[in-house]
Amino acid sequence: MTNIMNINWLQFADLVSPLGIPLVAGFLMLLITPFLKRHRRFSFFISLASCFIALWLGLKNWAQAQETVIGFLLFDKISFFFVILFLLAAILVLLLAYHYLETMGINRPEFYALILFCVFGMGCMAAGSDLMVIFLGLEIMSVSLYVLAGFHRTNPFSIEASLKYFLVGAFASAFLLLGIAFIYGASGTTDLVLLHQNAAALATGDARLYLMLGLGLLGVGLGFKVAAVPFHFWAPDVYEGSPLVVTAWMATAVKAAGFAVILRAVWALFQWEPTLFNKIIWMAAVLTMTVGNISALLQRNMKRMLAYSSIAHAGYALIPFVAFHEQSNSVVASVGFYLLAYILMTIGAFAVLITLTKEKEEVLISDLSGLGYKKPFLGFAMTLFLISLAGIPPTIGFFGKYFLFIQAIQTGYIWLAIIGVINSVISVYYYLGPVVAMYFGGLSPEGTVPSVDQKGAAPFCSPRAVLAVIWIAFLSVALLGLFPSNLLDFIQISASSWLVALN
Amino acid sequence: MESIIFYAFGGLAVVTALLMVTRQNPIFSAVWLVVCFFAFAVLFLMLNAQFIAVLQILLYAGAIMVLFIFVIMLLNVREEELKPKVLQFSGILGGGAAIYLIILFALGVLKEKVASFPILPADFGYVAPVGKLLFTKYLIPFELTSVLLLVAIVGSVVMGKRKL
Repeated sequence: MTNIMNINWLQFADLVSPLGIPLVAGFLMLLITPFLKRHRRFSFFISLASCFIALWLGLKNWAQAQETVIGFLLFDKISFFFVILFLLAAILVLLLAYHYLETMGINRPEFYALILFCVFGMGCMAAGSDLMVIFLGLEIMSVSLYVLAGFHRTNPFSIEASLKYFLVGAFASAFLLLGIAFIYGASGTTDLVLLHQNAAALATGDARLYLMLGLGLLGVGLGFKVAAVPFHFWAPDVYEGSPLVVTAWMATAVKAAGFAVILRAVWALFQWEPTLFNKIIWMAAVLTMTVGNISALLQRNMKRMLAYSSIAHAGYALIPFVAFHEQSNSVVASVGFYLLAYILMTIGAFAVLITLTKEKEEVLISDLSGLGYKKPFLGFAMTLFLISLAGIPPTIGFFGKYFLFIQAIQTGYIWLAIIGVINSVISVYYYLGPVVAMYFGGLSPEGTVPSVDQKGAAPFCSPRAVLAVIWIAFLSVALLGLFPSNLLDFIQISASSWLVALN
Repeated sequence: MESIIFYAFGGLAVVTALLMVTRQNPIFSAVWLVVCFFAFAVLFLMLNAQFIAVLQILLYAGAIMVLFIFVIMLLNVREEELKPKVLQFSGILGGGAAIYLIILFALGVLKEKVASFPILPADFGYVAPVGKLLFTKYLIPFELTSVLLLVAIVGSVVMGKRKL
């Protein structure tokens, strides 16, 4: 077999292990859990352990990564960086999940398996060196998400969210696939490296029309997946209806996976006509930021507010793409840094919401009132996460935004940066709403915040796990906000190797 | 000759697809979809993709259509639910996009300039070479597809099973 396929299986297994271990753990879980009595705890621990092992392997592979392409998967530092990002988000979400699912009465092993499959799909998206593999990874991720969104089957909103996401997602996938088909028709290849080398020649040749059409459709499909305006309308409903942990997962890791694909696609396909591309990105970034922020101003429901804020954050993350043609390395680094910052602070905010969730799903801003006195740490942590989301200095969110805006300024898009800053100022209003409620809102009428430090259950399954997530997010948001340079070095090393080696 | 067949069946596919979307009765829609699939199979045949053409008829026109019709009959849609819908914003948007695409296609056809592709081997599109490619060069994407199907099965069990 080896001589036909030219695959060194040992090397391949080694490289693919950070994605493969979660997948295998998911299979194992589905196979074994029906025969076990304590299947919930078993699947929870298996999924968590597999994520930790995969994270360790991912870090190991990151350190020794070269630009190896095996079986349509490209294993370089930036692929492993994104895999590490997804695994980190998965660990945090899994820690949040057990207690939450138990409270909601929907704790079933399939949840953990689907999260693991999702991680595998995202890994394929980030590591795919061929549009075909990227598309398959995206579908694996999306199909898991459709089910996860409707995991709370007795809640009609959850089912509605699932169905809406499914219909819109199928539509977006169709756009994406048609775009890929047109690009293939124009160029005769779906390989990203070949496309990168030939894109300029194609764009001026006879096939220009088909390439343009393909790029347009591809852009629309990806826009749907990261909920960029004008393809954002599904996001608030889906985020609101889904179970809270799934919302946290969708708002963070899924968005990061979408941006991983966008980075690859922009590098391979969109660089032949920078002015046109920059105009489109300019429009998309401004619209996405503004619509997201303005709509978030009107929300009373915390989940919905965070949904709109995630749309706005996608807009911020689009800003540096205007500089991609001139300084692609630092653009990739800034987007990577921002995504990491966004994952940490958003999961932290969702974790605080999870501690407040009782039987009913929704948490209104007024439910937070008095939290700052009743649970000082929770209140303080939530304040820090919201300040970080707004981008106020001593937090990681500030540095994330700073690195995004600096890219635009360095290439002369001053106005784009100014609009971004104005949007950040608008966002301060709605991010501080909950803070005001927590410290100046008086006590909430029923005055019951469920205690988060119950004794009893095993440490990883109890509400203490939720508290641990809040601590992790709290410390990283605060400390990385004060000392971001090591992390930035890590990301810059990841970004630079990819673009230099393959250019 | 080849272009006549192409335009005939391509046109048939477009017309039946439109008919499928515009019918009020879902069963009629399903039947038009079958016709559309057959037209597609002919197009695949003309591209020397015999294996795909047979699969198209076996799987889509056969198995998947039966499932569609089962689901439609099980849903038991009543007469009053099948009222014609008013034109919606999304409909206008979709229609606009469709017209744009058609114009683009017409322009493309008029230009008649498509990059020439390499000459195909004699056994192109037969089962053996397709299988060989699937299990050697495209093994990883093929396996990813199987993971995708597994995820879909798990998902449908999670969503559909009455008691888990």
